Amino acid sequence: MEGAGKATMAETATHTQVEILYNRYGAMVYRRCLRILGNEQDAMDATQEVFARVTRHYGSFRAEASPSTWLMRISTNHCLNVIRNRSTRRGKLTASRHELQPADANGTRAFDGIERAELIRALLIRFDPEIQRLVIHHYLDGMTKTEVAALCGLSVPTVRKRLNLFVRRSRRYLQRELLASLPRGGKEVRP
Amino acid sequence: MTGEDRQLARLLEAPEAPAGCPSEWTLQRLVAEELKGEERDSIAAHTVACAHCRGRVKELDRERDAFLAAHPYDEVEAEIAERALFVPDDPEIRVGTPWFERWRTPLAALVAGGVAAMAVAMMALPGAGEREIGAGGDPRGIKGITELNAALNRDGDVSEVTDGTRVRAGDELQFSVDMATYDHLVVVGIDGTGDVTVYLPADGGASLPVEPGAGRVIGRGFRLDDAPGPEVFVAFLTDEPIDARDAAGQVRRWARAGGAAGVAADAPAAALGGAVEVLALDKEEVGTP
Repeated sequence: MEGAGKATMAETATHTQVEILYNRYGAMVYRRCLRILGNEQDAMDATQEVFARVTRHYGSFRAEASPSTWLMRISTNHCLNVIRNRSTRRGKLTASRHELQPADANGTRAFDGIERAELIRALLIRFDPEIQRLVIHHYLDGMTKTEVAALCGLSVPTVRKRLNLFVRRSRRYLQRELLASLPRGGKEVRP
Repeated sequence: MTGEDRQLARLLEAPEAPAGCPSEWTLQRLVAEELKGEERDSIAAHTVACAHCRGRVKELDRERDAFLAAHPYDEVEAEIAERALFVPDDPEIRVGTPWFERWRTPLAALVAGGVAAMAVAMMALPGAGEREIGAGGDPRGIKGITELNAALNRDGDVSEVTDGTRVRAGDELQFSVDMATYDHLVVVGIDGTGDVTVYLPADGGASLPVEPGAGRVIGRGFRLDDAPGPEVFVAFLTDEPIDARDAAGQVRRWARAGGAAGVAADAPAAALGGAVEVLALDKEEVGTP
């Protein structure tokens, strides 16, 4: 019983702290989970999971770091796990294919059906976790390369190189795999 | 550039803030009342004067209010508490500096005023044991130089190297790599003639074990020969040891379709159980001014 009492006190203390964090950062966490995962239900589920981890690990919080940095790290890890689990079911970029539109004579409408966040999400599964984190921070969180470098403990040139790598290989992948699946009438793309 | 190329380029551009404006991330931290001191005052003053940022801050405020109205803490508290019971210990959620430290880069050395020292060190070292990069050139290595990845010494001027940097015969390169989550390293190069060379490990055998940390010496410097470009270097970062000969074979297979340029474009992001990092440099023709 004594142990249970201690646990209750600890939960009560953490509850207040978690509530404060939730009221201040809940929307921020939800917004980025939505951007990464792409639907509201998964985003809310992920948000609750993030704050469950906050509750469980509040003791590991260190005052010198910003709460947003802490929360971003937790939510990134969780969302990447969700994406990895999804990728085992889905694989390629099939979710986006049906939204492709036939290109006009200049080929300028081929990607009109794809929004940026959806494209980034679909491409993420092809890259290793390090690049995934950098891409999420830069493309979905709207961080500058300098901010990404500071958050991830990398040099700015390294961040720049890896993001360039992401873009270069994504473009090759899209040209080969995605455009090959364009419906009839779509513009043929030469590699 | 085709229409698709242009659209892909646009889609893969990050949503940059307008010139002179803080990033989206910074505005979110402002709304969360996390910024302090001069940074807060500066950003707040900017949002007063900038219609774009003022509008975005209002939008973020509205989003927060709407979120809390739809999902007040009272309604999610029980679910969060229940989930918390099943959250495992997870070192990844710690805050502050990541468990690995940043590798000291040549750029950092430049900033720290180490340019002269680095240049002197590079130029003072004897040529004995050097190994040329390129089409099977004479093995000559510059021993004692630190790091992989990004320092170029040209006639004593040391500068940063990134993808697309134009190099020429006689340039000396010194590499470093951020080893964030991997423990083993192999570096393989391929030049414009298709010649593949293992640069790390020096003996071309088992991968080089590299402990995460700052400033550890992991390789040597190299001098470029006059083989035609491009010069492409592929770093294999893995958790488990690999054989450099396997890595070299992988690079040869990638090169079959498009040579060195093909390697730069097609090397997959993950191979041999880890990650792949490519540094592709352009090469000036001999005699080009």
